[in-house]
Amino acid sequence: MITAAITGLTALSLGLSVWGLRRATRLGWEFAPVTPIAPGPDGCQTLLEYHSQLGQAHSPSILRRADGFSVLWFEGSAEAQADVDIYEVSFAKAPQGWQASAPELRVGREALGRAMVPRQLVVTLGNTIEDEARRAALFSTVVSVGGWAAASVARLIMGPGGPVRAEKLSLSPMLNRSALVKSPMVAYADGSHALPAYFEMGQMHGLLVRFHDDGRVADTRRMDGPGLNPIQPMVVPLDARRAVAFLRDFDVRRGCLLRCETEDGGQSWSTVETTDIANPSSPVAALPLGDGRILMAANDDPEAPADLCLSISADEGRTWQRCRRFEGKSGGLRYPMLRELAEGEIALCYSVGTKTGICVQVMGRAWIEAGLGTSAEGTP
Amino acid sequence: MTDRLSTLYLGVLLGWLLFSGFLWVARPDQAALAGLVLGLGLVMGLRRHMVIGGAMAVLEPIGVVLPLLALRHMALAACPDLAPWLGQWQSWELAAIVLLYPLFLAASMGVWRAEPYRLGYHPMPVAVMVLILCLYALATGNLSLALIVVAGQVQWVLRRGSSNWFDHVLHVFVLPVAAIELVSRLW
Repeated sequence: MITAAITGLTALSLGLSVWGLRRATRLGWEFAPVTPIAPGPDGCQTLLEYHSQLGQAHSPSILRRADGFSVLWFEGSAEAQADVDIYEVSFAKAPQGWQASAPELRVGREALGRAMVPRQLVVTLGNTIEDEARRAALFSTVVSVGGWAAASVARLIMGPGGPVRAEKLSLSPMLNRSALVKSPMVAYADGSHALPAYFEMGQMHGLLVRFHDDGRVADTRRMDGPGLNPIQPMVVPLDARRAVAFLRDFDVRRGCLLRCETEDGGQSWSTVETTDIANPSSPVAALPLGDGRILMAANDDPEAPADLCLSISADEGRTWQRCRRFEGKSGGLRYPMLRELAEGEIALCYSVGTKTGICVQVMGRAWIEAGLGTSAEGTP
Repeated sequence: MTDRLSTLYLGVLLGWLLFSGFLWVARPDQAALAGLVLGLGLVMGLRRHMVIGGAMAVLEPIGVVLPLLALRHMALAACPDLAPWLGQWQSWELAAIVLLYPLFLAASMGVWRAEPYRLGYHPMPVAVMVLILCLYALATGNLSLALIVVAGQVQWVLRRGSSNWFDHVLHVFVLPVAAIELVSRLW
């Protein structure tokens, strides 16, 4: 009788396996072509200088929209405290120029806890970025217990009043803990997107997360380096199969940016290595300009680590020429994000005053390039 | 995990905790029944309470393994005659879980370049692992093992909860359960 029961279960598993195999889809591993960015306006405009009344505002990210873009950040008394929520400002292009909305609460912890499937406690929120594969969706770093090393990445489906459904991504067997996001997604030629994420518990490493059509995690690929603590990968496609990733080293003592490469569309990554680029353990933002060059926003001046510099590389990120500098006079300028907008405009956002405020700027490629070699002051 | 399924699993786990307490004052069958009824009732009744939300946040993804092991424990306590039907976990099998599971977790945390957790996303490796475990269950007469791996596969194929099969059939709390059981046998 027991043998018959187990035999029946084995037969059921075989049937399920056949079903699962027939339904499986292959992932495409060719990056989407990089389109050249037009020269755009020869100027730089500051759209937002926001200072938190609560204590800290940090880690801004850019969401592109048909009529402009919006910027999200987390804000509360201090990072990782139980009063941190996600705020948003929208920017729309009007005939008289960019118009900004008032900052508003976009994702509250209690509302997110109610929207989670299954419903659960959300204690604090962190880095949040756009889910570019879905309309009105975000990826947010969610903490239900412990600190950042116990965080999870959740996909939030947003409605007009906040999150309407949210689910944690399945990225770790450690109670699904220790995955975080920071950098924007990477587009593939088949229309899908990959999410650069990172793992903070134990041996830190970067991850490239691929998804099924229904949004469930389909695969992950690791970016790691022995003896290093690589996190917050910023992936820049170079062509259909090649890409370079710049990673922050969590160990501040080494003081340099980390780097790895792929030559098979992200299926495998070279061992993460140190570079000669100075970095005070802070993430960088990068953007392919479409002509083989890469634009980067980074704290790469060891003499002025609070400053944020815009640099361009013509050799796939090995050497850089500084173009513009934004001075961190009242504290570090950190956590930059760069996104291409319409008509050659480039949006840049970062936190100011060592995590106490947010700055948003829009500039043209021409303005950035005009500063090549001069390291001109970035403030317009 | 769908909300209803997770709520059910959490209710079973709370029921098992209550059963362990009730054993001090009641017969095992009474303790099991009272524990399950109270556990499920509390979790469903207080589903919106912060304590249940916190427990869900800590335990998710719960998977099938912990609820099935809890039900098995209560069933055997209430009706020891079921033991031959449900199968026995050998001490060396528990020792293997205690030794190998931490290695699996360490690998997933990046201690080694090997990434066994990744296999759980893909249908072919999952099919092979489930088949091997079912054949092993057949050879050892362990119906519980076959139930756990196939129930996990059902949820995984039906896309209920995690997209990784390991999340359905493993849970970090299996480690202390196996270790305590192993130590109690050595005692």
